[in-house]
Parts: sequence; C-alpha cells; structure tokens
Amino acid sequence: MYRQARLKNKFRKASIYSFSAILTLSALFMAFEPGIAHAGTLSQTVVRFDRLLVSQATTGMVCVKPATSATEASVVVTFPTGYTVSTTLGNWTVGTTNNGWPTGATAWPGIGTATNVTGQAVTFPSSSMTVGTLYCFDWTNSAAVSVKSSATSSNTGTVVTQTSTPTTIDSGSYSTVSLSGDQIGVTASVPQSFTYSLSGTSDALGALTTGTVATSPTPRTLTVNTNAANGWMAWAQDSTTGLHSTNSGYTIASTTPGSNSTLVAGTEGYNMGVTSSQTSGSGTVTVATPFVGGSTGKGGGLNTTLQTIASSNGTANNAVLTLTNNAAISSTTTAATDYSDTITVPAAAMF
Amino acid sequence: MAAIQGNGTGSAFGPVATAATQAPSATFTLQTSSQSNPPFSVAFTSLPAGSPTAAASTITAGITTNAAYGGSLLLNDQNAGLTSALKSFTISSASGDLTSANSGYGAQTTSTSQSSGGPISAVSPYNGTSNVVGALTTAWQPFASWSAPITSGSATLNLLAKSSSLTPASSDYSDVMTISLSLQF
Repeated sequence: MYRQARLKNKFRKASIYSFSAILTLSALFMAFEPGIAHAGTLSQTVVRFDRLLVSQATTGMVCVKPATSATEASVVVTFPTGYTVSTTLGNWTVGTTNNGWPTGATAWPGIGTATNVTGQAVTFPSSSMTVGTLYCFDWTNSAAVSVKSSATSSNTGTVVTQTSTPTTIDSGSYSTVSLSGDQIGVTASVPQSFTYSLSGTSDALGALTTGTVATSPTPRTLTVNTNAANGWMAWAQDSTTGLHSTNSGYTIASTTPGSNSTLVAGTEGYNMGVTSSQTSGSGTVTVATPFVGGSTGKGGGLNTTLQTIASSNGTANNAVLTLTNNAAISSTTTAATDYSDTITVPAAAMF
Repeated sequence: MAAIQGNGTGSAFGPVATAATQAPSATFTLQTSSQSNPPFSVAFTSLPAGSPTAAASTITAGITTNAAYGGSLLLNDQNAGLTSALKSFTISSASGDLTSANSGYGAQTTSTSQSSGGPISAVSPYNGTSNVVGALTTAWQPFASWSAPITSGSATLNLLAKSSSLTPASSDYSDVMTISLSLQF
C-alpha cells in the first residue's frame, strides 16, 4: 500500500515535470521559430478623420506604433460601423506628407494604394517597421470613406498590422465621433475709409509780367487716403473760366479747356498743371491728359464744368496731387490788381 | 501562485489576475459662445484699420476620451485668411503679434480645463496672450493637446484680426475653419 502510494507520487511528480518541460520547450519553440508572428497590441493607434460631419466624405490619417518585432507586409484599417467605405481601390490613395501628425511621427514605410477592401476593412501594403516608432500615413482622397449618417460618440475601429502570410502582428483599436457640425464660418466687415485734404485754400501768383510765365509759388496739394478697392477720382472746375478782374471787367481766359497746353511768356493764357505721387497702395494714380503738368506753364484750362484731373484704380496711402496754376499775360492784357479765380477740387472714392 | 506539493505554507489561491482591454471611447462637442448647435458662425462686426479686434464669439471644443496617450484638437482653415470675394483680397493669417503687424488674422487658445485627467493645454503658436496669435493655415495644426485619458476636457479659441488702411473695404470677408481631433489610443 505504502509502496503503491510512493509510486503514484513519483509518477505524479514525473508527470508534472514532463508537462512543465513540454510547456517550456513549446514556449521556446514558438519564440524562436522564424516566420511565425505572435499577435500583440499596438503601442499606439491613431486614426484621424479630417471631417467629423455626418455623411461627409473625408480624408484622414492613420498612425501606429508597432509593439512586436516582425516583418510587416500590410496594414488593415477597419472603419467604424456605419461609415461608407469605397470598394474602389483607386480611391484609396495615400500620402506621407506630415499634415498634423502627432509629435515624433515618421512616414509609414512602403505604404501604398489599398490592395483590398472587404466590408469596413481596407488593406494597404506596408514595409517592415521598427518597434517603438510611431508611423503615419494619410488617405488623401475623400471619395474613399464617408462619415456615418448620424451624430454619435465612440465610433470604434481597428488597425491591424500583418505579415505577408498574412498573420496578425499587432492590432489596436481607436475611437472617433461623428458630429452634426464640425466647421465654423467666420465673417468680417472692413469699413470704408476716405480722407481728403488740401494743403491750402489760396494761391497768389503775384504780379504778372509779359516776360515770364507766372506759376504757383507754393503749389497746393490734394492728399487722398482710402481703402476703396476700385480707387478714387478728383475733379476741378473754376468760377470764371479764367482769372477775372471785377474792377476792369477783363478775364485772362483759361487756355483751351479740355486740352493740354504750355503757356508762353508774352502770350495771354491761364491753366493748371497736375503732378502726382503716392507712398503706397494698390492703386496707380493717373493724371488726366489735359492737366498733365510737370514743367513751367504746362497744364490744362479750367472752366465751370467739373473735369477729371486725376484718378486711381486702387487703394491709396498718401496719394498726392500737386496743383500748379500758371498764368501769362500779353502786352494788351488789361492792368488790374484784382485778378482772381476760385478753383473747386472735389474727389471721391470708388468702393 | 501557490505550492501544489510540499510542506510550504501558503494561503488559499488569491484573485485571478486578468487584463481586460477597455473599449476605446471618445465624445466630442463643438460650440461657440453664442451657439450651442450648428451651423456655427463667428463674426467680426467691423475691422477698423490699425486696431486688433477680437471676434464677437469664442469657439469651444469639449473632449472626453480614454485614449491612453491623450491626443490633440486640431484646426485647419479654408483660406489661410479672411477673404473678400468681391474685392479679391485676403487678410492673410500669420503667427505673430497683431499689435505691431500691419494687418493679420489668427487664433488664440484662451483657456483650457478638464474635470479630471489630461491635463489639456494650449499648443504653440496658439498659446499667445494679448494680441499674439497663431496662424490659421490650410494644413492641420494642433491648438490644444493632452497626454493621458481626459474627462470633460475643454479648449476655447478666440479669433483676432486687424486690417490696415489699405485693406479694401468690404462687408463680405469670410473664412471657414474646420475642427478635428487626433486621439492616441
């Protein structure tokens, strides 16, 4: 009886040792046998949908950090239930340009256009990856997948890396959401602005002589600032179509209003020349041909009708028109000390 | 673990160690300070030249997730600026201080919070104060991030813009921002 018990005990011990040995050998065999991958869990799994709006076609991003050392040949991304997954492989184009990837991510090696779509699962080719490195790629065609039609939380899916067999190497789960609104419209208004200033309201030409053409000693300037996209215009008219003497009842007439002229000493005439400058702005200032100045006596005659003297086709920062009045008399011009004229120079912006 | 045989002493078998994988989860909300439901819009009522101006409403994103490694809230922008179709002009977005910039447009993450986990925090260049903004671009940019599971995380964005004296006047400046999230499970 005692002997039988000892034998039984020995047998039990042997069985336990044998079983342990088998387990150990099996484990070793499985660990070192080449070509067999042992499924693990991805250290990180990230799937970003660029649009979260319900029913919206979207591009997106897939990232994983492998946990198991093996030779990857493909990756299978399974999209959440309800998401519409295109079965057209050509829609599953990919890219590896970093577009908001997580910090430290690198381009997924060997990633390419999908090779298989079955249900919600899309298979992409992949090259081998290094354990502990975060790899990302983007699917770049929004025709590939559309968000589900209802707004819900925790829409889950999986990412699985595979060998060429294919056998699962690592797998991971992810979660996303579908929303009824994922965009914000922004609106703004930029108010109209227009400033106009004249440097002075008088321009004394002094005593006119037949020997010279008198010009403004300090030409008055008109300065425009505006954010009018279409620019601005300036006009001019005078009160008497010339320099008029009330005392003598005589007028030194404006020279050929509507055309450009250059006054000559000794020949009676009166005109206004305009030059321009601008510090900055999208507009280009153009002086109207009849009023182009820039040299002594050069300009255009004014009359009682508003005539365009300059215009611009865009915004203006410190656009300046310099207004130079010119006068010449002849030997028969009636002497008087009260020759005068009033020039009106309006301007307006074109918003 | 306990001895199967021998004279060693030991207590009864303890609880079986298990490792259950928790299902990934995420909830996300988006709203403005004036709208709880879409469509969302934010307005700059007027952009006077030379003055940085804040939008009339702020944008708040809320997140709860068990993503073990956290995640980030991202934005991208349709125009990389405020565009007027009528005037064919864009107030370009750029990172920097609108106080000294001639003109510009950008966003700030003005506040972050969570009830637990995270913590969530603003990401550069959106972590500026005063009139310092981060550029809005057509590429995805994170404006807030965290590195652990988070409950009731929240990040609020403020938009600022500035026009110059040469910014064409128009009432149709517009832009569209898209918000998304990247969760690291």
